[in-house]
Amino acid sequence: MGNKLLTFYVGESLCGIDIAQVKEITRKVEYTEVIAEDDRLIGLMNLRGQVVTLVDLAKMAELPLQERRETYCVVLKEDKKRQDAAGFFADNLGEVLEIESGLRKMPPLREGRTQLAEYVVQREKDLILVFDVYKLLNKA
Amino acid sequence: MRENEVLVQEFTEEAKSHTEKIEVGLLALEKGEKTDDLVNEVFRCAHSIKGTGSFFGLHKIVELAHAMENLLGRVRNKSLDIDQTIIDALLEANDVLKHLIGHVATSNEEDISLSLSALRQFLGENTEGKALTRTLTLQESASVQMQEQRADQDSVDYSSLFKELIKKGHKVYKLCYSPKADRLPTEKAFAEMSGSIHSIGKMLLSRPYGTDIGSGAESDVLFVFSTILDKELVLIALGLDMQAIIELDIRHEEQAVIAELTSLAHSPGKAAMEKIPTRHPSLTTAGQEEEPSPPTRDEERIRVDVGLLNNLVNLSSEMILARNQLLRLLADSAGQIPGLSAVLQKINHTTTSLQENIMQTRMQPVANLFNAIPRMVRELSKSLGKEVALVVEGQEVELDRSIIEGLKDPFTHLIRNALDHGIETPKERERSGKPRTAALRIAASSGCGRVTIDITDDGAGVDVNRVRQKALEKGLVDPEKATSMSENEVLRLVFLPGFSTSEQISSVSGRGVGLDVVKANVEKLGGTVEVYTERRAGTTFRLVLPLTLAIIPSLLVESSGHGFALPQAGLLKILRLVPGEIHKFEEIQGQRVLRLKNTLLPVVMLSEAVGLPPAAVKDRANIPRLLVLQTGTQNFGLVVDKINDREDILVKPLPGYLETKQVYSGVTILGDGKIAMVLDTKGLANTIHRAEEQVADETGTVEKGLSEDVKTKVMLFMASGSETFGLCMAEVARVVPINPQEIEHIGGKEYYYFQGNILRLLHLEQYLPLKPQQPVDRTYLIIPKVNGVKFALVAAKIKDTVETVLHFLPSAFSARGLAGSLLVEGKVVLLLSLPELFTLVEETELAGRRENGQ
Repeated sequence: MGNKLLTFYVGESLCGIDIAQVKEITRKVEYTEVIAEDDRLIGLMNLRGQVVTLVDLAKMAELPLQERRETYCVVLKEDKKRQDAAGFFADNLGEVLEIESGLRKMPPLREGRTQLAEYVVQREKDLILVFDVYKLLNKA
Repeated sequence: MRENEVLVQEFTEEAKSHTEKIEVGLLALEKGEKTDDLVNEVFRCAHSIKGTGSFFGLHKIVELAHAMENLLGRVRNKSLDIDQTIIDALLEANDVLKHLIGHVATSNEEDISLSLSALRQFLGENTEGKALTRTLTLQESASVQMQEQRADQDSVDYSSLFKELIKKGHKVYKLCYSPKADRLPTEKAFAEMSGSIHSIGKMLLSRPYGTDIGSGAESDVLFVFSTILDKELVLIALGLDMQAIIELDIRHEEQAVIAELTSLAHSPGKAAMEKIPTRHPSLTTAGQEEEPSPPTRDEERIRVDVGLLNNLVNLSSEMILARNQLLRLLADSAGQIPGLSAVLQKINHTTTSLQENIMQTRMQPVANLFNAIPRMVRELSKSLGKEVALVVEGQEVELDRSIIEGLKDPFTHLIRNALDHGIETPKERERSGKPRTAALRIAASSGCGRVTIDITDDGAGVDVNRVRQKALEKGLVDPEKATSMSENEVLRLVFLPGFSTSEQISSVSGRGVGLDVVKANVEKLGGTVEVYTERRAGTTFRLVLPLTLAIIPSLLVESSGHGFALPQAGLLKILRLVPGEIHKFEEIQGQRVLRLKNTLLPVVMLSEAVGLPPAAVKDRANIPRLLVLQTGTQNFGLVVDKINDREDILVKPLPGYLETKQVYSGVTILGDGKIAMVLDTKGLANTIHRAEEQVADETGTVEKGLSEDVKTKVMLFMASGSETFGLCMAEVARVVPINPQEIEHIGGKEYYYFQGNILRLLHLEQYLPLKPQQPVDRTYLIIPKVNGVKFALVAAKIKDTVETVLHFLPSAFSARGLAGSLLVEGKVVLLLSLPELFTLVEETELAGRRENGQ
């Protein structure tokens, strides 16, 4: 994973993803709900002619779910394996951070909310959980 | 090396098309068309492959192609007569070649010795002379460059060099080139000629020959080079004439040649020439040099990446949707803004044209599908011991590319089927009084937005009773049902999985895995497959396919607050379920059914099928609708809360994360930008409990004869006689009433000037076997929807537009230009096939012109 992270909030959790994976960020748009057996799927969105699958990052990453404001939609670039694009909702956006590899730490296993993350970044006041969304999605 | 990949890719495509041409050519030669042109063309193709292949270091491909080329060369110069065994060997070698080309990366490791020896036995001589080559690799070509720049030709060991050249089958030529003739400055001429030589072989020596060296004055230049090519080809490649080059015989007069070269090398003036830069051997010239005659086909074509075309299709469809939205939004305000209406019209028109043209780019002639058939038939008939004469018609009919791809497998199977089961052995045929050679006819025709492909054999026909029996045996059908089924219904049983009437399973077919897969594949493409048969006379399999995959008419429905799109194909009826009637649903073995007239229809609630909670009773302000849908042999009803609209949609594939849902066939973006799931009729049918398969098989509510159930709009009109003609509305652009006096008569033909186009008027009486009547005072022109429209049909009276099912009558009256006859409201209507009509017109023209000696 690269060095630049997009940070954002899902509920109270501060998360990050490699900015190279991000296609664009839009304010919440209309989408069509989809009923699927996989409850991580929220629905489908029309992005200028392309169909984007909206997924529930909170569910996938097992983050504590509080009220979701879902202000922003982060659309990712296409998953190379499947050629489909996915996106998820973020409640708030943080900064774009440059992370030196030295600051990365692998999450200890079995510790609640960090275990599905790719790695974590420990800062003075907070902890950033960095996820690889497609990896999580392709798991099940 | 990305660039190299792209080049290899291009080579592969080109080579593939060459091998196809070789196959077609060889089969034609086999049939007896022994023309020189044909042999030449096959030869050229092999030569091409060899030439370009050498630049990629594809040794085995080159070796094989070279062997084929040698053999063909012998045939070409008449020193060998072409016969069955030679053709067999060549065909087989071509197959191996195809395989190598299909796997370029590993082609160098393949063993081709079998094919090589098979070919060589005809050449009769030992291999050293016409050696199969290990030709220049890219690396070697580069080193040729370096050798060029290497100053001392002295150090070249000619003796071993010649040995190597002989091994490779190279010849050595001496060229004395006079740039004066070209009026080019020496250096440029030198560079160009040098480059050309590099592209065809290896430079051994190059230097100015005359005495004025380095003075800048024009002088002759000497080249000595080696190449695989024969003299004539060298001359053509370098653009020279006969006398210019001399072949140096390195085989028999090695010493003399060495002496000459050494002396030349030592002459002064060498140094000046070294510095001249030479071109890199370009990869394309190798391909070009083989055309001794100018390209025989003047087609203006360019290669386009398929992905790009797909993008265009998507974009144009989005454009259509955006346009729809625009028109919708501005519908009311159009009047208020001056000039807006006209602009909207223009956008509308242009977008439609754009869409149509782009769809055209994806159209390919079915010849692509049909090309593999002659070979297949040949091989199969041989291995099955049957004699078959193949007739292929309608190769120019066009279909969307992806449909053609999707048809390849079904086709193969249907043909195997015909040869294996349908067509009898020659003995059997003689016994039944039929000619020994069976006829297999493959015909494609188009009309009314669809393409029909018939595969007809004059074999034994399908024994309906045996089918019935087998189906009973295998438990595929209920005994009661079996006796009451109509013949057509029994025939349809052959499409069920697990069905086969053959006693043995041959290696070719009989495993019973075929026809159901064929049907499924064809239906996946949006088409249908039907079978007609007559005992002892033959069988026809008819495939009907839509012209394009992309846009389909659909119904927008709603259940439990969610909207869905349901493709209209397969929609038979829509019923309103007045509240009291819901209770008319019964339950049989756990499956909800509706008693409809005298049939039981299984019913699926859309909300259930997609996993939504049913709408609460109080929300049901509307009257729910029951849609009667048909898939395969089964009808069922789908209950939805509302039907919102009818829309043409572009079905996009389901996002990968949703693939588990069988009730959806894709997603679409509606005119208002919202996304809707597209329902899959078959998937919905699968939610019905299996036990009820028998229940819903209709007994007679659907028309027999396996015709299309979808209604088509047909325009009825009359020409000057009493016959009524029909034309699919989809093919009509406009109908214009005109004053017959405005028709211009030029050179015996009639023309009309309309909206910037000069239209040639066609009187149906001239081309169809009808009685011509008097001209009438009121005339209409029917302008067809064709790209580059140049014809218009003349009608005397426009009668009506009806929606009807295209169920053709078994016609006593049939002619070219007619798709068939229909029964509309009690009257016989002759449905025109515009493509056939236009072809007929053009042929008549051509014949007429020939007669007049034009």
